[in-house]
Amino acid sequence: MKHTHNKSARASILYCATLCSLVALVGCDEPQVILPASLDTPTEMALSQGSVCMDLQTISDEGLLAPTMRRCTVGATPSDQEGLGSAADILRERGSIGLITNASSDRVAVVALGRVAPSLVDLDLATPGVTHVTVGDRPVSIATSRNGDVAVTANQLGKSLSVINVYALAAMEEDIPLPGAPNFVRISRKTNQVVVGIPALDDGSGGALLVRDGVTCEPTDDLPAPPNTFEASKGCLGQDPSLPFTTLPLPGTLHDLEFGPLGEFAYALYSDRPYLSVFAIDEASRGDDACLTGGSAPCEVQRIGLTYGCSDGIDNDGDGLIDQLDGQCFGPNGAESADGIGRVPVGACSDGIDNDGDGLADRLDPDCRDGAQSTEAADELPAFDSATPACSDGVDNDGDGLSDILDPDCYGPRGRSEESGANLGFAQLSIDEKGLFLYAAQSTGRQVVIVDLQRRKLIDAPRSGSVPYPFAENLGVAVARQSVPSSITAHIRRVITRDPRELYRDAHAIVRYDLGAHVVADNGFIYYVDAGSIYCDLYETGRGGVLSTERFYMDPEGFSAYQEHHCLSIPELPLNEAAADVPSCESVVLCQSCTEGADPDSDDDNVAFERCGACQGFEEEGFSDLSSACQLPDRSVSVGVTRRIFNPKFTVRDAVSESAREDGRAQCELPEAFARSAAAFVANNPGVGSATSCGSKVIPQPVALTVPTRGNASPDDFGGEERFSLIETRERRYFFGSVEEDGPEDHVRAIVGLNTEDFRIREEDWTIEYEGILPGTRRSDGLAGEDDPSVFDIGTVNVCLSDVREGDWLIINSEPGTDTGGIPDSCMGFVSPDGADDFLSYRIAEVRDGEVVLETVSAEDGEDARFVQSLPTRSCFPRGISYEIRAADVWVVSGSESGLASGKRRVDGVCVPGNGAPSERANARAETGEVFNGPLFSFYLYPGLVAPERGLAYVVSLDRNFSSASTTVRSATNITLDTDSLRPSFLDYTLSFVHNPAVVEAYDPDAPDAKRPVAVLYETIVTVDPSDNTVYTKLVSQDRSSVVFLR
Amino acid sequence: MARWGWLSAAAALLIALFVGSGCEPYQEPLPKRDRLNFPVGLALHPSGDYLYVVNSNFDSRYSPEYGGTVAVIDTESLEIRSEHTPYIPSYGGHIRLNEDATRAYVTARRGDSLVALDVSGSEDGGIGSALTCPGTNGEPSSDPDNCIIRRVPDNEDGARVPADPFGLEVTRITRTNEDGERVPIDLINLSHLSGDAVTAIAIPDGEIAGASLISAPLLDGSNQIRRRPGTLEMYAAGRRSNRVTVYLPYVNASGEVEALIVREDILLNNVTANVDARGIAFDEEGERLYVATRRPDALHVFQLRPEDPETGQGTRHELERVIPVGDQPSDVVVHKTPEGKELIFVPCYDERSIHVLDPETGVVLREIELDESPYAIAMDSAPSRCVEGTTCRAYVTLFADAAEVSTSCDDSGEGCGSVAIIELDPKSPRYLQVTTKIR
Repeated sequence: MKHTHNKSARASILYCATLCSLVALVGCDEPQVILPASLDTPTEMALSQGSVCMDLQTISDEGLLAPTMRRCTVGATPSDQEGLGSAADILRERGSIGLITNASSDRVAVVALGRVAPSLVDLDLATPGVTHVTVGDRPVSIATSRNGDVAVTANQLGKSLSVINVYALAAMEEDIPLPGAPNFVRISRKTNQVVVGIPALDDGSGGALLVRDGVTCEPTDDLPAPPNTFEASKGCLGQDPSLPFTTLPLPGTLHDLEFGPLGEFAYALYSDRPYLSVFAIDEASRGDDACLTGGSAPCEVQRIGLTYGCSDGIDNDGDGLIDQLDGQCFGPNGAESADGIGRVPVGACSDGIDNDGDGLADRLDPDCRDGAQSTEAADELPAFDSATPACSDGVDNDGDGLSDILDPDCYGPRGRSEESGANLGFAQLSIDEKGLFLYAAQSTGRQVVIVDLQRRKLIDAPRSGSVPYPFAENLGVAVARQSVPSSITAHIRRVITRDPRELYRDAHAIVRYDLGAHVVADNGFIYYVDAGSIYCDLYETGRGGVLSTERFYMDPEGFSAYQEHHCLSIPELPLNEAAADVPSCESVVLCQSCTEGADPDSDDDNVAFERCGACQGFEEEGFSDLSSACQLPDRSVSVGVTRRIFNPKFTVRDAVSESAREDGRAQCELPEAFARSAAAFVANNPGVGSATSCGSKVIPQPVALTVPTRGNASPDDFGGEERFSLIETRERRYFFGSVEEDGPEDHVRAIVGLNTEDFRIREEDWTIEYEGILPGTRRSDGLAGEDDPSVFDIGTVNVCLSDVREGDWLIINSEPGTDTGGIPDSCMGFVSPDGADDFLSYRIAEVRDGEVVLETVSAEDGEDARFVQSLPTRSCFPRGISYEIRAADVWVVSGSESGLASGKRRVDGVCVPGNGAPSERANARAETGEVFNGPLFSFYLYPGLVAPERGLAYVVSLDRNFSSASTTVRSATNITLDTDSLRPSFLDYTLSFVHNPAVVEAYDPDAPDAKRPVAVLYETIVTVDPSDNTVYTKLVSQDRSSVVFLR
Repeated sequence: MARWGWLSAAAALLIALFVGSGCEPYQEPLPKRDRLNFPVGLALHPSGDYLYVVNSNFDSRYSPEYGGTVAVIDTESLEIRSEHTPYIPSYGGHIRLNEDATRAYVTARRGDSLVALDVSGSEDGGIGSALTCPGTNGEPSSDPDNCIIRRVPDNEDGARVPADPFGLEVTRITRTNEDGERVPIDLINLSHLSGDAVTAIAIPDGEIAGASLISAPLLDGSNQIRRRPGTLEMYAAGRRSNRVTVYLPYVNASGEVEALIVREDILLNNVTANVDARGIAFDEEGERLYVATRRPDALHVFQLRPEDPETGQGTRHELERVIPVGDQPSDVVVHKTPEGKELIFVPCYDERSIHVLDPETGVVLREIELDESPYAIAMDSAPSRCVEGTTCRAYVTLFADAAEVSTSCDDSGEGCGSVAIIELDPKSPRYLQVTTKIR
C-alpha cells in the first residue's frame, strides 16, 4: 500500500516522529535488551544511515524487540533539492542501523543504534536463538550504500560478495563470484560503485581492486514489514552477478581500503609498501590528476609516502630517482631533498650541490660517506675508516641472491646494509568527515602517521606541532610505549557558539573544530590523537544560516556551498618555526576559552556566548597586531567572511593537565669525600644549613628556572617539588584572536589555552651526575697499547653516541698483573700508594673510533701527584682492562630509557651530526651555575657553596599519565571508557568509529511556537572485538554513559 | 586398590625376573603397540618413509612408566609397525629428530623425562623403520629405560629435568675437541608446562653419559620452542604468559651447555596476561615468526627486521598482523607449495578444523573440516613424493578420534585417536582434504 500525505500532514508526522525519536534517543529508561550470545568472530561494522528505518516494538517484559522495516519519512523539502538551509535540515528522518559481519558463522548481525543503549536485533523471534542475516562463507568486510538501502559483504572463503537489501534485511539469493579471496569491500558515496579489495587474485597476477556498478533497492509495497518477509531482490537493480568488474592492479598487498568523505577517491594501504595509493573513482573525480598507468578512471592517480623520503618508495623530489637510487639518500632514514622528510641532518653530501666543484654532487662524489658530513672536499674530510661497506664487499650479505649494488636495498656503493630498511606495519587507515587528514595506525612504530589530504602529503608530526621537537625519530604521533595502535577512527568534532544577538544568531558563530582520531590500542585503552583545533569566526551567508549539526555531518556534498567550508583549511605543515615559543603571548591571556562552562555543547547559546562576550568579533587591524606579536600568520587566515586560526598539536591528548611531572623529590647521592668537605664547610660556617640535606645551599644541585615554586618548598629547597621545568609546560599553547565588543577597537583579546603536552616524556629516571660515567663506557674489554702505550683500545664503544670528548677522564679499574699472577716490580707504579680508587685516571687527549689517546695528569705545583704518572702498558695489563670514561668538570645528564642526547652518530668511524643535532637542545652536559637546556627539560644548576665532587648525583623520576580520559580542555572528545570491561585485544580486526546517529533533527517551521532544534551530536564509539565475540558501544557525548556490550 | 597393588607387585616381580634374561622388563598393563592412543606429537623421517607418532596414554589406562608409545608408521602401507614401536613413559608430548636423523627425542611428562631413542633400521624395513633403545646388553629394544634422561649426569647429584617437559627443539652444533676433531652435539631445548623453566641439554657425539643440562626461569608454562633458522636463537612461548622469550643457549668449547642468555621478550598481547600460546613456527628464511594462541584464538604474525635499518644490525620483531582463527588452535606449521608460496596451517582443536592462511595477505584461504579434534601437524617433504623443497602431504594427530566400530578406548576397540592424512598436491582433486586415516 502506497502512503501519500500532503505537506502539512507530512510535517505533522515528521514532527511526531521526530519527537518520538528524540525522546527515544535521549531517554534514560531505555533498557539494554539482553539476548543470547550470538556474535561469532565479528570483524567489521557498517552503518545504514539513509532511507531505511527500523521500528522496534517491545513485546515482552524482558524487553524483546520486534523489528519492523519501513521507509524513513522524507519531508516536503528533500535535502537534495535546491534548499540547503535550515528548511532542508528539518524535514528528514534517517535510519540508524548497524550491520556486523560474523566471520565464523557466516551471518550479518543487525544493531539498532538509534538508542541510548544500542541493541542487537533478533530478526525472527519465532526461531530459537538470535537470527541474523545469512550471507556467504566467512564474511570479513561490509559496506553500505549512501542511501542505506544496500549492504554488501565480502566473503573470504566463499570468494564472493553477498548483497543485502536493507529494507528486507535479507541477502539476495545469488552471491556475486570473485576471482580471489577478498578482504575489503567499499561503496563509493558518489557513484554507488562497489569496490572490492583482493590481496591476491587466484590467477597469480597479484592483488587488485575490482570495481563494478552498484546495486540499488527501492522500498516496495511490502513495507512496512518484518525482516526477511519478502524477496530480497524485490525492488532492486544491478544485482546481476554477471555484471563485469573493472580490475585495477595493486602495487602491494592490500591491508586497508577507505573512501574519502565524498566517495571520489579511494585510499589503499598496503602491508608491504611504505606508501598508500589514491584511486579516482571516475573521470570527474580524477580531474587534473593523471592515471599512473595511463587510461581513464577508475585508476590509481597518486602514491603518498608514509615514511622517510629515502624509503617511502616514491620520487619525492621529482628527479626521477627513488629512494636507494636517489643521490641524496645514504640510508632509509634520510630525505631525498633538503626540504623532504627525514631524520638525517642535511649536510654537504645531501644538499644537492657540488660543494667542492669537482663536478660530482652528493652521493656521486666519492668523498661522500654520509649525507650529514660537513664537506665534500677531499682535503677537508675527517678520517673515515677504510672498512669496506656491505654494499661494496662483493658478498651477498643478506642472502637474497643479490650482492652489493645489484641488491635493490643498497643505497649506492657506500651503503652500509643490504637488508631492507623499509618501514612497514601499517594497520588501518581512517579519514575525517571533511577529508582534511588521513590517519594510519602503524603497529610496528607504535604510532599514528597523519597525511594532509588536501596536499596529499605526509605530515612530519613531531616537527609540526606548535613546538617542533627535533629529537623524535618517528614521523607520526607515538601512542604509547608498550602498546600497539591497531584500529583508528578519524573525527572532526564541531562545537558552535552562536552570537546571542537575535539578529545575528542564525548567521554568526564562533565554531571550534577538534581534529583528531580515536585509536584503539592493544592495551585496552582508546587514545585520542589530537591533530589540532581550528577556531573560526563565521558569518554564514548560505541559505538558512549556520549549518545544523546533522547537515554538517550527513551532507558532505552540500558543504562547499557554505562559507563554513573556508573554515576547514589547513596551512602547509610544518609551520614556520618562528611560530613556536613566544612567551610574550602569555601576557595576552584575557579569556580562557569560549567553550568552558557547564554545558558548552548545549543550545544554551546565550550563556555560552555571554561568558565569552569579551571574545566576540575582532578588528582586522588588531588581529593583525596580535598575529604579528605572536607570530601567527601561518596559522591564521581570512577568507571572505570567515576567519580562522589553526592550532596544530599532533600529540596524544594527555590524561591530566600537567601530568608529566617529577615523581617525588629527587634522590641525591653524596660521595664520601664530598660529604666530608661539606661537613667541614658547615662546621666552619655556622648557619648555612644541613650539609647532608639534598636541598642544602651547600650542595650544588639542579633548581627550577621558570616554574614557580609551590608545595611545601622551603627557602632551602630550591624549587621544591618543581626543580625541573618540563619544556612543554611553557611552550604549548593555542590562540584565537578576538576583540572586546565594547572596548577600544584596537583592543584585541585572545583566547589562549596552555596545555601540557608531554608525549615525549617517558616514565624513567634521569640522572644528573657530576663527572658522571658516559653511558656505555663502563666496560671490561679495554686493551693497553702494545706499541704505543698512549693509545688505548676501548673496544666497541660508540664514541659518538656516548659523546666521548677530548679532556674526558678514562679511569682504569683493573689492577696490574701478569698472566701468571702477581705484580712485577716494573708495574708497581700502577698501584695506588694510598689505595685510592681513581688512581689510574688519565685524560683523553684524542678520540678515535675504537680507541683513545691518553695522557697522564700532572701534579699541581707543590703537591704530590694524585694520579698515576705512567701510561698503561700491555706488559702490566696483559688481559682485558676494566675501565670507565667520565666527563670532566661537568654534570652528565642521561635518562635510564632515553639515554644521552649526544646529537651525533657514527659513520665509518667518524662522528657526524645525528638526529636532533641542529637543535641547541642536543645536549647532555651541564655546567655548574648554568642553565641546562636538554631535549625534554631545562633546569638551573645552583652552584652550591662547596665545589662538587665526582659522583655527586641527583636522580629524578619523571612520570607521565596518558589515558583515554583526556581532560586538558573541556571537550566531549574525551572518552571516559570503562577500561576494565572495554578490553579490545585484537590487532587489526578491532575496529572503532564515531558516528552520529542523528536520527532526526527537526521542528515544524510552520508552528509559531516552535523552538529551534537542539544541536546535539550523538557520537558513539563502537569497538568490534572478534577475540571476545563482542561489540562494545559507548555514547561519547554523555560523559556518564556506560559501555554497552553486544554479544 | 588391592588389585592394583597386586598388579604392581606382580609387575615388579616380572621386571626382576626379566632383568638379565634378555626379555624386556615392563610394568603391566602395557599399551597395545598396534594402535594409537591419544596421539599428540609426531615427526616424519627425512626419507618420508616412516612417521613417528607419540601416544600419550592420556586416560592413564596403562602403566605410568610404560604407558605411552611412539608408533612407527610406514607411510606407504600406512600400517603401524608395532614390533618396532617403543614404549615411553606416559603423557608423552612432542618428538623431534636430530639433524642426521639418527636419534628421536621425545618428551614425556611422567617422571619428567626426555627419551632419546635411536632411529634404526630393521630386517623388514629401511633406515628409520624402527625406533629402539639399547637394552641391558646393548641390543636394540623397545624398553626405553636406558634412553630416559631425568638427571644430568645420571646420578643423585645430577641436575634434574624440570617438571613437565613438553615442547622441544633439537639442533646440531659442533665443537672442536682436544684432538682437533669436530664433535657433533645435539642441543635439545625443552619447554615445561609446569613452573617457569626452560631447559637446554647438550649431548656430545650422541653420548647421553656426556650430556650437560641447564635450566633457567625464563617463561611461565612454556609450551613450545622453535629455533630461528640461520641462528641458534630459541623462541619459547607458553600457556601462562603473554610473551615470546628469545634466548641463546651458550655451549662452551668443551661442548657443555653453560648458560641461557636472554635476548628479548616479545610481547604478544597487552591485555591478556596469559595468551595460552600453543604453537610457534618460522618461515624458511627465519624472517617471519608465527605464534598461535588461544586467548584470543589467533595467529600472530611477526616480521623480523634489522633493529638499525641504516646498518642492518640487530633484530626487531614487528607485529605485522593478528588473524582470528578457529577455536582453540593447538599448533602452527608452514607448508611450502610447489609454486614456492608459503601457507600457514593452524589446527583448531575445538573447531575440529584446520585453518589455512596466506601469511602475505592475512587471508584465511581454507578451512579443512575434520570430524575430530586436531592437535599437531607434520609436513611431508619426502623426495619420493614431493617437489624438492616443498611439502606435499600433511599428517595430523586427531587426539581422541574414536573408531566407528567402537567408541570405547579400551583394548577391545581400535584405540583412541588417529592420524589423518591431508592431500597437499594442488593438482589433486582431493587437495586440502583428508584422504585417509591411520589408526
